[in-house]
Amino acid sequence: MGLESRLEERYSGIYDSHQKFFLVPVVLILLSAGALGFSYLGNGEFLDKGTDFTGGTEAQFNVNGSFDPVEIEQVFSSAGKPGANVIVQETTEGDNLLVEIPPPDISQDEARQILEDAGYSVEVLQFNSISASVSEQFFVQAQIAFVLAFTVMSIVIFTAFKDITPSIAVVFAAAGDILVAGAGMVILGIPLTLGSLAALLMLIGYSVDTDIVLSSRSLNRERGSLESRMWESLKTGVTMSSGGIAGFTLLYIVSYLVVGPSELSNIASVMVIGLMADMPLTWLGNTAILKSYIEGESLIYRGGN
Amino acid sequence: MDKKDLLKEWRIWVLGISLLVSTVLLVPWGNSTLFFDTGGDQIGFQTNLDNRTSIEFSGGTRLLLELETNETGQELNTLANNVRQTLEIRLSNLNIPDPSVRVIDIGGEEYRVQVEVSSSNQTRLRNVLQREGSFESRMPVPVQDSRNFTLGDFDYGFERSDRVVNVEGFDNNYSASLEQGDRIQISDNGVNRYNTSFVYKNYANSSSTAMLEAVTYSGDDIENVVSGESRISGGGGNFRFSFPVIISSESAENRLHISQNYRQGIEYLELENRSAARLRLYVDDNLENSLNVASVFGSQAETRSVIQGGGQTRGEAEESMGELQGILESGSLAAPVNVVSSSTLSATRGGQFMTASILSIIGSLIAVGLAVFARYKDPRVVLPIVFTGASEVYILLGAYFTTVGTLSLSAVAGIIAAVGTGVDDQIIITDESGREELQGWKQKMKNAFFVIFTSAASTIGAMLPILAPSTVSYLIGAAGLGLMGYTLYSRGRNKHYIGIGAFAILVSVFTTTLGPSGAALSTIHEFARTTILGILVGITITRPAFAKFIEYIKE
Repeated sequence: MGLESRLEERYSGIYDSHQKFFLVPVVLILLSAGALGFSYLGNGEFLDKGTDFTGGTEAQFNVNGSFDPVEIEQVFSSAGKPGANVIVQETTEGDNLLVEIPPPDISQDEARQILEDAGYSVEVLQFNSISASVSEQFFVQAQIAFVLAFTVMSIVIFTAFKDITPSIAVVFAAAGDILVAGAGMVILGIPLTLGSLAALLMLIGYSVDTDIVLSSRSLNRERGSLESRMWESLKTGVTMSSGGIAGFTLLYIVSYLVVGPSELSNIASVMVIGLMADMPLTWLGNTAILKSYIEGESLIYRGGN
Repeated sequence: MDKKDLLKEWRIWVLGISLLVSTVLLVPWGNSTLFFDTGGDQIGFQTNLDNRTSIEFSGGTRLLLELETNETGQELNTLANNVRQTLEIRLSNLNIPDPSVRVIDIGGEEYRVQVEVSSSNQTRLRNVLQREGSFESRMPVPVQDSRNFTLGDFDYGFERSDRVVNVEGFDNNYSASLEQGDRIQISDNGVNRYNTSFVYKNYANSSSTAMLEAVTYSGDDIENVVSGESRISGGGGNFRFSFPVIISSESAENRLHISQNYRQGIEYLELENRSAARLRLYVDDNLENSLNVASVFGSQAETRSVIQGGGQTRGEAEESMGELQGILESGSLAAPVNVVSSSTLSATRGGQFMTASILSIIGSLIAVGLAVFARYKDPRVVLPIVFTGASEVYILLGAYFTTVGTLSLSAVAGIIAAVGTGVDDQIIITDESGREELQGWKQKMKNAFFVIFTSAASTIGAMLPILAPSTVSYLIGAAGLGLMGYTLYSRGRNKHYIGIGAFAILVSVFTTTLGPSGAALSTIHEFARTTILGILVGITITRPAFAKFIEYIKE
């Protein structure tokens, strides 16, 4: 028996017990909501906002010689910039110094002068600073963009499928992907920046691909059994997700190795988390909803098989 | 379908022509496209993309400037556009290639000015941009006890009492009292429609002298900066620059009237104590330079004047000259500006990002190819998928990034996202084509393209709010109305559309009241544009060609 046949047989078992397996995405979503809620209780924000949305300064330096991150934090604190967060970035070209300073924002010269006064010889590789008022406005606009993007996607799905249940299933799966990606960002410490926002918006579009494949094939009753149609959809969808995961994983690895943590690696990691979350949400969650809808079964798991 | 039919297929031709056009746009014709680095151990290709990279790849600085004003809405927009024009002129004098200055709407009727240049020298840039740029050329008027001063046919008396200087007009009723830092304007000066300004600069305790300065001309009076006659001279740590300016005839006459109050030396104008009456050049009330004044200015109304300055090195002198010329040409800012956001990337860092991006695009194509190979295990299917993905990247680079787009970090992420959606669609086409033969080829492709178009519409819909949230907000409202209208027109079919339509209208109204603005998210605009264009290139050019190719393989 070939691998595909064995997988198909395994899928048949999942298909027959879809109510039981429906709990997997439900638990995943609950855990993600829990992680986001925990973050909210901890720091008053669901997602850790980056400099783009909080204001402040983020600077990367190439330091000539060795440096101690704790000492550099103290250097900034002594210079009247308390709360600086210093991270050592390992790249293929050596260690860089990343300094994050909370608002108010400071100028490039000021940041360099503080380090040079402390006896460090530094070269500025990258410098970003933004005032709190502008970043606040950026955050408002980011939220507007997100709400609009999700609404447009929902209208497209409802118009394309017409039926309410499959459409809601697709929209919920997309919302679940975003929720899990958000939880992943909290757990991995990826801040919400303009880059990671772009990834979340992209995820809205990306995540519905597999759901559309599943829904359109499952609802087309002319060909084969529902189980075979869903199995065919799964093969297509998993290949699609695998391609995306492979591509973005490589983007993460390459960008991390060459430049260290950056906007590119943030985008890549959010996409990978979202695409990975899409698999259980689509193939265990959405499948169960569609099966119940098409065959008129209950979705509530009452124990047993 | 045989090979001949495939080659005659117009979809294949469209793909071929698109690749050809992209090549034409990418290759810098007339120049050598093959290059070696200076050591000769690296080889590469020059393309027309080299000048179309953002500061994230070439290194540079992006600043967001806020205007110090209480204006909002259209008035602020007009003011910001005035500031933009002023800054464009200043930057054009800095010898920085392709500086970009634009007004952006960050939402809530707030406008900012965004400046992007390829220089990483943020200090110099701030110095040029943040200077208000009010220029004045002044002559010293020391008042020890009292002195007379003539302006044309009008005589005035300056009298110091302790630290205060009283000014009185002998031929008119003019009278004023000045303290340190004060400024007066005298209109009875023999010059039509032109006032002579006096500034009480400082008071020297040691000599009990109040130092007033008479403004001979200001930046507003400069009609032309003759940059073509700029000179740099000197050496040994003392370089001088000079360039002529043409001032208005009124200000030339004003200068003549002021200069007539000084002794005519052999070469230069002199104060009463025979020391040189040095002309002082101020920018934003900061003394930039002081020069001797040729005697000729005391006898003729010269409209040509020479501005001078210097620096320790030739480069410094050139920089200072460029900055001063920029300020004189542009005039003063319509409102003072503050830097509220700044980003700087060094060229080294930009180079690293470029390497990471190139490797990521090539690597993601290979990674996707391997993932697809694991499923199909058939190079005849996998190679066209990878080739089609690579074609989309090539067409995007050639047709978009050499003409309109700017190759930025977010654009690279967009390219990879577009490759991902493209490969997804090719997998859908491949799988649809391989399904049981109950349906014809047309029906299979209809099924495949239903999925492709729906997912393309979702993704484009998710990206558009980054670029034009206002328009999307209105469109959502219109779509909501449409859904409700459709339900009513179709007599209750899809009743849930009423709820969805109502929800869409609510979202539209709510987001519109918040003042949505795409410019606030300008950093990720290229991501959205590239993704949308990548999808459009895919559904109009590469995917139809790929579908035909798969049909050829299957048959």
